[in-house]
Amino acid sequence: MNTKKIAIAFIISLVLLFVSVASVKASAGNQADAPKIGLGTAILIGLMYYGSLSPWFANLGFTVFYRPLVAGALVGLVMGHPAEGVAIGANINILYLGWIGAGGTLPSDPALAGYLGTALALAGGLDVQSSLALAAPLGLLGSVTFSLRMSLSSIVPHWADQYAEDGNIRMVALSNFIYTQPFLLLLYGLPVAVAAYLGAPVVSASLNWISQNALWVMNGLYAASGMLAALGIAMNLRYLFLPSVWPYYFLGFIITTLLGEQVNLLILAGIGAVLAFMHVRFTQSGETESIQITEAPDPPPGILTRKDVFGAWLRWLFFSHASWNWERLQGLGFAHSMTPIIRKLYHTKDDISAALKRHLVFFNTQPDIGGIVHGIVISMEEERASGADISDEAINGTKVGLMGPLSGIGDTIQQGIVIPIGLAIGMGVATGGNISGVTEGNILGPIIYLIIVAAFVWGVGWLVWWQGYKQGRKLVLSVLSGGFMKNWITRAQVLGNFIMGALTVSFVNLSTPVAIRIGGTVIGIQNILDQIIPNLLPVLAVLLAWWLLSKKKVSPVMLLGAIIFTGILLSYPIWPGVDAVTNEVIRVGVFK
Amino acid sequence: MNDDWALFRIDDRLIHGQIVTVWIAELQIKRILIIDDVLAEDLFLQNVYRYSAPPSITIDICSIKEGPEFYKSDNSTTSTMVIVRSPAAAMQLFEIGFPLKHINIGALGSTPERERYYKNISISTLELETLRKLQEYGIRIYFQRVPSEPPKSLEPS
Repeated sequence: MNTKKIAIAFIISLVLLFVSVASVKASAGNQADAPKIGLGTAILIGLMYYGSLSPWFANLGFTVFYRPLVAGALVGLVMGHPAEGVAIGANINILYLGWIGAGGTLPSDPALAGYLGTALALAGGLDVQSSLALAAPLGLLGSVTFSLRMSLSSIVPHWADQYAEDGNIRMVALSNFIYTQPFLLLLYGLPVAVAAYLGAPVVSASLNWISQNALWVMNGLYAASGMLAALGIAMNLRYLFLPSVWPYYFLGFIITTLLGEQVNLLILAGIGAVLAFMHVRFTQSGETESIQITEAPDPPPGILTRKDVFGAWLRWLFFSHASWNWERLQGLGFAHSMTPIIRKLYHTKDDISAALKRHLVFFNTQPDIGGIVHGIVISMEEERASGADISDEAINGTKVGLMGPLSGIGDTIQQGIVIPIGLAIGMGVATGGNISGVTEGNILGPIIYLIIVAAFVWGVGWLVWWQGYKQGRKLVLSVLSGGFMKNWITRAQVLGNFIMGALTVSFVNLSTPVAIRIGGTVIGIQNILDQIIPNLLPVLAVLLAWWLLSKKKVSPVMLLGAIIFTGILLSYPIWPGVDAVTNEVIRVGVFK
Repeated sequence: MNDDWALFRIDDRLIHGQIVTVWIAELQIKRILIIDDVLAEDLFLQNVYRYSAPPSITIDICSIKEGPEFYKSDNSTTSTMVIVRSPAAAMQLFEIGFPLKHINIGALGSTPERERYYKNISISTLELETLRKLQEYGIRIYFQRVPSEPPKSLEPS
């Protein structure tokens, strides 16, 4: 258990709770226009949170509904404020752009921040930017339930072992979800529904009290959110700031700064894509290693039809993680996906039982690209059933040998490229390219994101599965060799850097109202900064966060906690500034 | 010669998502040395591992027997990560003189012999003994799947 992370989340929650209790007593007032969360709405929010972690959306749960951009839109919809929900979700998502969960490790829970964070921010009448500081600590609490889920689900494969012993194909398939899903519905849905229902009035009353009695704390939440956005971009830059491609970050930053109010993330993504192709074209060494595949693949024995192979893929697409657990990770998911194949190929109880047990062992890969493994294993099973001498070891050796490297490349492509770039474009469309002053978002943002990801998850997923079946091991090498994959990764890194530069301008909103007296005149520091380089503070904040993360090895969770506290503390008004209306010298916080 | 590896890792999936997406960036890894007898024999899998690594990473593969030789002939100062498949492989390497100061246990999948020890890391009684022996030789043994999780030391029996 990550005690440090829980301690920080606990302290932040405690402070929030203290403020809340104090303020509920102090204030009886209520915002008239903020939406309330009734029992029905709270239950819906809990259900949606469970849904984002459930197998019911053909692998679009984790890749789409788990992301705050989409969560915000859905919560906004059920609370009757869809446009505000979209904007809040997009803003919360900036913190989770560089979020990667690999092989059963979850650094924090974007979905909890997205669903509960948006709900509480809407109910509290919080502005779009400040909602991030409210949602970020919530995201840390999610990893507790994750550990519980992975431990308790470890029992299920043992029950499946029993069904496999009896040769019961149907129950092996059903056991993949009938035991875990009701449990997960309770584990995930219930606490979130309760927190939304009971938390909303408390958050709403406390924010109301703060804005009446300690307005500087509200400024602090606003400033902290700006810095958290910088942290989100910096976390992504850890994977992108690489030799020879990092200058594209600054190019993206400069072009977006020059565009000013004209920012359009879709057009910027287009420019970035052109740059990416040019970069690879002009930096290629000329020769690329390539493995020539000359022999034609052996034709399959012809027992299985395309429909059988598709049926297996569908089961994997939906249920790969339905019983995900510490002990065998996707072991039961793999066996479930093989059930239609086993049913078709094997007919005696012993053969069926042996095949089920063969595929109930430990397995873990990236679900889309990793489907190559399944394709290959299906063809091996088909050959075995038609008499070829293929041992258990040969089949398991193929699975074990390929699942690692394919999950490495799959995570790089899906979680490292498709999702963050898709999110960046979706967030840009949702907020109109500039978070500052946005109150209503564009629902097209989350929809565009969904289309991008579904095209990859469904399209590429089925393509590699089917080709893996038809071409076997030869496919793996022809896909990986010849620099094909590496060139695409390099292009994505160029585009990624460029987009992160653009997002620094459009999502990191930091400025200072502090002024200094030179001679007889008072000059705002922000004016001076704007004359040197506009958006200097945002880019400095991103670079500082990146330096702390990757050079000083400060953990993201520590940094998150430190940002929220310093953001609020620095906003206490003791610094000299100029009142915009009366032009008189007043006391201000460090950040606006 | 570089006897302080950025990371010496036991991981039965060898290279996978956690390594490619997290460790490489965290430790600024430039080269990965996989010491594994199965892989050293299998040209097909060697190519799969080589081609699926990120563009900036060099992958070297050798058998356990070649391990110390490989290490001696290495003049690089780049940050290297060494990966072996099992505690037994680490012990074999140690016995033939491969320099080890610390061993990270990142992933060991469940088998009938192994019992779940920490998160998704499972260990058999024999493997646990091997690790304790290595620890008695002064090698630091710790469980840590990704850098964002705190390392957990091996408890003495």
